[in-house]
This record gives sequence, structure tokens and C-alpha cells, in this order.
Amino acid sequence: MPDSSFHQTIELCGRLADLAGREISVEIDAACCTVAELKTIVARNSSVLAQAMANRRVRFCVNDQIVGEETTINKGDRIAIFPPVSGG
Amino acid sequence: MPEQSRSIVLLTDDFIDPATALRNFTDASGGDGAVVSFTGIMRATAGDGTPILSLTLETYRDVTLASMQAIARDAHERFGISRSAVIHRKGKIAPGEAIVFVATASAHRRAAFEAADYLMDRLKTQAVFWKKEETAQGNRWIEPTEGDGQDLARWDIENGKKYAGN
Repeated sequence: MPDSSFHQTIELCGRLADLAGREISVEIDAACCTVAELKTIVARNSSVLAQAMANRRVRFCVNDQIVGEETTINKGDRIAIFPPVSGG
Repeated sequence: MPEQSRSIVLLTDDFIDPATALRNFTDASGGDGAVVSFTGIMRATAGDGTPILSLTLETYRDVTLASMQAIARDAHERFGISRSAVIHRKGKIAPGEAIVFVATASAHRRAAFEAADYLMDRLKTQAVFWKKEETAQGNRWIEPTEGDGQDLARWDIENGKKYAGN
């Protein structure tokens, strides 16, 4: 693994955990990486998640904030992927 | 922020007693003329008639509570209600148990009715929960229905989009 890359753990919530486990780990480049780019990396690693993330209501949560795809990921961030939410 | 102090938002593993929650909320009435409440109860059968054994509500860290608080804050801002209570279960729930209790208080009835309606529409579609129904045939995840989306659309919401994903 080049120095400029790191392993990022990503938590999966709801039905995503049933599809691919409670968490996954991907290798990302330190010079990277927005949520949009991370999404591409996750999709490349898992076809079931790629399919699930095609739903536009799937969101990324970074450090306990639901964020947009332009958000930059930094080493040490806590990241989760949320399938469509439903309370009540 | 005074509005925040008048909003009680709870996420609990414990059984919700809607009658007690409503009595406590009404007793705290500080001259308001209207109190409206809603209790969501777990149904014993799914939409297709399948018996449901239990429902599990999954949450994520502090994000679930924060999403509920943001929704309550918006209801205060939008309808000018004086108080609100939002109590939501998490974890495993049995048929007949209350999943959610919402109450609103205002000087006059219209704001209280509308705010309770609004709170529920947003909780259904934007609060950070994932619901899994357990049936004899297996488990399935429940997502907001088209009807839930239409209910939400009635409010023409611009804010709160970060919890919406739509």
C-alpha cells in the first residue's frame, strides 16, 4: 500500500448491513477523496452495495453529520452509509 | 434558546405509556388553549396481511436523536407552537406497543393540529431510523411508502433537506 493511501472503515446501517456486513474497509488515496469518490470506490468493491447505493435516498454520514457528495473525507473520519430512513 | 427548552425529545428503549405522557404534557400547560397528541402503535399485521411478530428500530449513534431534535425545532419555527414532546422507541417492539408519541401545545388549536401532523410526516420520512419487521416467513426492512412521500410533499419543505435524501 503506498504511503499516500489508507484504509477506511465504513459502517453499514439497516438493510445495507444485511447485504454486506456491519462494516467494510476500503483503501483510499490520501490525495482523494470526496464522498462521491468514496462511493465509487465502495461500488467497485461490492456489487450489492453498488446496486443499493443507486437509490438516491442513500446518504453518507461523516463524523455524525449527514453530508452531501462534495464533502471531503479525511483520515480518521467516522463514516457510515445510511439506506433510506423511516421512523414513526 | 427558549424554544428548545420547551421541546422534549426522547429516544427510549423503554415502553412508552401514551396516557401518562399526555397527562404530563397537559399538566405542564402554561396557559395554552390547545393540546394535540398522536400515538403511533405497532400493527399486528403488515400491509399484505402477514402477521408481524415484532419490529426492530435501528438507530445510529447521536444522529437519530439529532434528527428528531431538528424536526421538532422546525415545527416550533414553522407553526409558532409553545411546546412539543416527541418520544420515540428504539430496539425491539411488540405488536400493540406504542412506537412514537407526539404532542404539541399552542394558544389555539390550528397550530397544534398542524404541527403534530407535520412532526409525524417528517418523522416517518426523515428521522434516522431503520425498521425491520420480523414475520414467520422471515425479516424485511420497511422503507417510507409513496404515500409517506406525498404526505411530506404537502409541507413544501425547503429546510431539513439534509435529513431527507429526497
